Amino acid sequence: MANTPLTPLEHELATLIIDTLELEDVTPSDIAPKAPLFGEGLGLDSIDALELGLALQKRYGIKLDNDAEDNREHFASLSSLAALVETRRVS
Amino acid sequence: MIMNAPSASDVELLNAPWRSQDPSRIVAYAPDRACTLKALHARIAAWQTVPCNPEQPIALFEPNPWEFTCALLACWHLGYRLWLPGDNRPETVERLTAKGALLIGTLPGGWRPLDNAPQSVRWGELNQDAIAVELFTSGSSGAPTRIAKTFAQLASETDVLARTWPLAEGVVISQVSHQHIYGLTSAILRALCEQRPFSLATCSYPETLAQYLEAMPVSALISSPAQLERLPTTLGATSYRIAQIYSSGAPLAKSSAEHAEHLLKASVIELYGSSETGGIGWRRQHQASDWTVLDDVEIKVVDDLLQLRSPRLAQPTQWLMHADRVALHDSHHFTLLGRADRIAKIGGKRVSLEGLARHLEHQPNVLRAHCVEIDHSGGRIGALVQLDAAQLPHDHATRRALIMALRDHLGQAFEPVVLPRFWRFVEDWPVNAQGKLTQMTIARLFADLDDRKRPRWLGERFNTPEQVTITLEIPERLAQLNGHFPARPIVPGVVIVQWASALATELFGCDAWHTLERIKFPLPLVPGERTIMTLIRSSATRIDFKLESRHGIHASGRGLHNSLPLPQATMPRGGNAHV
Repeated sequence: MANTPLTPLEHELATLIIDTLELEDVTPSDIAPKAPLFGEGLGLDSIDALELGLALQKRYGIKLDNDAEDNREHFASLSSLAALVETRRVS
Repeated sequence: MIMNAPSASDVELLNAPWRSQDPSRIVAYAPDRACTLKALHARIAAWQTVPCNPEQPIALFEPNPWEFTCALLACWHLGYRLWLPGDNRPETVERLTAKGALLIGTLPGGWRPLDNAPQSVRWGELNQDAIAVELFTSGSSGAPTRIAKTFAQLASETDVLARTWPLAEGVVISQVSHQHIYGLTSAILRALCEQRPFSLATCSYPETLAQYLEAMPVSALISSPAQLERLPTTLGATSYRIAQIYSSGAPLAKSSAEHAEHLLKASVIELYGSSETGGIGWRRQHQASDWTVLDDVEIKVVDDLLQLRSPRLAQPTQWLMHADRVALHDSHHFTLLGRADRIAKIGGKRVSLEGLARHLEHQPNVLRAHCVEIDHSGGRIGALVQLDAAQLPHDHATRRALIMALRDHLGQAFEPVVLPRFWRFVEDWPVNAQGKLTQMTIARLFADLDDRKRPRWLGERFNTPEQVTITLEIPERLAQLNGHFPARPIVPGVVIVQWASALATELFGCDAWHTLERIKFPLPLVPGERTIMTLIRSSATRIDFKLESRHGIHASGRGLHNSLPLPQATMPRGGNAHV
């Protein structure tokens, strides 16, 4: 299902997701850049969103805004997450 | 003693009937003495000198029923916040102290009034919506959970029992702790409300019980399976005057119910409920093995699980899911199918682990399922699933597809956060010699989560005492895959040999291998693969090993070790041997 190769940052984020959330049946190559991370696609849930927010802050110093709609878009897929990290990373 | 049947409002807990009755009424009995209501009031006044500020919770642990009752009523009428710990173990005391509670009773350093106070009792009103007590029950994880009960909830409990089986004349004798809801309501509060004396000792043991039974007519014996299943036949030598026996805590074996009825010449009423729900139903096995709901309880069954609504719930208008599986006969009768009582809380969502497992078993290929809470990733569900050999996932892709299908199926009935995150697929249900799936086995099945260097253990089988096969899955996040190799991870051969050596030590009790011979790695081993490790003890100093998957052999060879000190060391471990 994941035919498009991941960019180095996307690969790094996929690994971060897998390690943070302890996904044991997923490898980075299972995650397509545009596939939804939550719900249908990877099947992440609301707790995962919180965990992921923390991990992004820890790894890249990214502070998420209070705008839920914005955050939903940032967390939509691996590539949107990569875009967020590109523009907002401080470390 | 002269006792007329009290009228309905007199027995109402909220009216505190113990306030205004005849001061000379006997409220508690021992074989050698009796205590009056006047004495009770004096002792309540003494307990009311407790040095506590109104905001501070009071933790009361007091095995003596008299002192307990006086302390309880003292705090109630002062409007203090009262906790009833289930025990006085050091960890419990530490926890209570850490939460800022004032300890009273027989807890270490617990406050107790020395003498009767000169002052009279301050009779504050009991507000039905106020919290009367907070009880502690052991949750599924083993950590105690606190359950708050309002006066209205407790009153509902004493009311329904008084309405269904008004207490006959005589003493209420208890064999159970009043620190828990059943003993509190049945042995103490009912006796106070219905104006029957309670026993001055908790008669947990048959010797004390015999002493009490010989000395007085008994209105009710408040007991539990722990006692009733261990009644000595010597008790039957004397004829006692017992009106009714109650049992609660767990279902009573039918033979024990019959034995108790025969021995003590009284009917045994079993009460069904929990700390959380209060009383739900009852049965007398002499008449029927199914349960009748109490007259103010509504029940229904959803996915085999009992749901109920009753005035004793924290939210009386809402349906509560209970983790017990039941079969409903009509709106008032049900059979308990299995006491599950396993509720997990994931991200604040409660989920029945039995409910999840039953849903998994609805899938055509799933033979059996068991769900547990796993303390990883902030607390998630792990699922153990038995499949036909042909359906077992054999590599990363098939395992991932299977998990996605099962999660999709569960997702129709459960919220995303409670869906199992960790999956273990087995061919044989990994039970011990007693046919039980043990905590130890469950720990082994998920041990790779705690130690990232381990393969995933999925069961083992001794084909002969000298030959064992172990099913191992290669975790995708195995630590030894780091850098070996980034683009195409492969398990290093040396790691497989280490696993073989460790398993040989564990299963045959031999020393670590000092020499390796004929080691071969014919096929690379990739993460996700399901493999079988075969270990054969070919001689006292040699173990042959082989690791294979459906693709073929990944590793083979032999390890030499020092000879075994004693033949006994060859016993396979108890957990999962199919000898």
